[in-house]
Amino acid sequence: MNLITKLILNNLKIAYALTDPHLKILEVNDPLNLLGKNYCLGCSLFDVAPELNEDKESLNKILAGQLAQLELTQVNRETSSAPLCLMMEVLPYQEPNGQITGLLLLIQNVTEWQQAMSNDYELRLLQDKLARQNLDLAAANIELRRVTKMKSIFVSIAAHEMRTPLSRLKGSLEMLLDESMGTLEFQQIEIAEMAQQSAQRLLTITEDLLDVTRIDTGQIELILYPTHLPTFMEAVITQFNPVLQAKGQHLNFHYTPDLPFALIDESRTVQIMNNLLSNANKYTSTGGTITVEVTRFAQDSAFLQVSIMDTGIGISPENQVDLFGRFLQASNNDQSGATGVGLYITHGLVELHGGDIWVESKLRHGTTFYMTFLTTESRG
Amino acid sequence: MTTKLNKKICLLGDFSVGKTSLVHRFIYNEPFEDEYASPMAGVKVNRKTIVMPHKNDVVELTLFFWDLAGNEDFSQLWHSYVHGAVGAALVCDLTRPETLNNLIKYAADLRQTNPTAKFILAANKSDLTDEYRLTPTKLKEISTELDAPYYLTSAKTGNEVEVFFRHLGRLLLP
Repeated sequence: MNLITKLILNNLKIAYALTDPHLKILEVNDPLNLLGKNYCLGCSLFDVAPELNEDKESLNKILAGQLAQLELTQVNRETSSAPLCLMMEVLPYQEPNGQITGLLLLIQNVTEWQQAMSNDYELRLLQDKLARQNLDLAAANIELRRVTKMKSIFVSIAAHEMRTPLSRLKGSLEMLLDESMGTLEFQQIEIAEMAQQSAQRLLTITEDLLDVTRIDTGQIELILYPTHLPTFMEAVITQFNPVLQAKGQHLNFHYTPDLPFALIDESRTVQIMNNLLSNANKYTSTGGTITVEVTRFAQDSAFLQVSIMDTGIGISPENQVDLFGRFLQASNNDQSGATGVGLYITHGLVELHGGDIWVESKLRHGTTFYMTFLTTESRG
Repeated sequence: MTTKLNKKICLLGDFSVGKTSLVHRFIYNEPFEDEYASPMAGVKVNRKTIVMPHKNDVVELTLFFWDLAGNEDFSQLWHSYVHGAVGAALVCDLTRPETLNNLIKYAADLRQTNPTAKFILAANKSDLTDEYRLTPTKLKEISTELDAPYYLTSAKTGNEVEVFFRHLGRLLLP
């Protein structure tokens, strides 16, 4: 083999063995020690490449000029350090006159390339697996959404369907109690009143369920208008006064003069205030005091703050955790019949106003709920 | 583990570009009927929660949409309208070129209040293909100027509406 060819093969780190027609080795170069130590000049080609033993027929064909080459692309060998992957190629060795005088075996270390191929394959397998998992997740997600939607629709339909007969029931009981259908005995009035209270209670529950569903699904919408909050609160309190008077409770109302307008949805803010005033009323004993205040929010003048403070039973620290979560009741011995969704709805509505709500309370020392509402003159 | 985040978004754009319709389509996945529009000027507030993966976590992001209903005179309520808003959906009408140019002022006004606010641009009414008056070049130019990715949306058909608001959601994640 000429010098230039030898240099090129050496530079490419390709080992070679040149044989005579009887496959005896004439010349060897092994820059990376790929052939091991089991060969010498004059020994058989199969000593350096025993893997070729299976291909004697092909080697004869190459020598006879009937086959252009033989290629073994992945020959694995165990070595003392690490497994090797070799690529072997056998070519005819031709004299300048074209006569084939032997074979040329070229050996290349393709361990790294093979490893990369293997990694690439594994990567593709992983990608396929990931794609399948993504599809599964997407399907599960759609299924989950469908089930959640079905649940919301069911609650919504059930609540709607309950509302109409309950309203009729309540109306009928009112007619009975009006005595427009005839005079009632004392005991009959008592029973009718109890039934009326229960009907009202069920109506409130259905309304609450509808609101929870609306909040959960985002299907609740506020229209905020500039409103003078103290005047608005005065009206709410006036409407609530009979309930307080029935329990002999006192209500104090204070507000800072010249407050700017607040951005509120009036009907939903009535709902917020009624929820909190109802709680104050329920959890404060007869003769207790409830104080309502409207002021500037000290931490951010862009907001007004409304506080509703009672002298009631208070909320224990453990019950204050996640107080605005769904279906919670502050007291386990609650006799008020509250649904436990009131504060969840209140929180959702205050949040929609762009404000915040929080509580300060001490067991047996009363509770104060604070809320903030954006003013119309806020500065960024 | 799930992280819960609340973000206030403002809808900004000229009269009748389809701001309310876009939000309605996103929340209810149905076209918005004009006859339900409020006759009075007020702020309409809606919310929608979307869930998305973010930094090896799952984020439950609730977007609160503030939309000036009734008229587009922002002057009276502007400061409360944009207070706390961390992003805005800028909406223009593909059939009215002036509505795109006007977005520059809306965006500048919001950036004055909140310099880090994120924007996304909806060129709405993409269903009216025969009436397009806005060129892609002009849209790209304003989109680049405002640093706001843009989408051709149709509140009427729902085209690109979901992906538009989800992209805005992604922009707002920390």
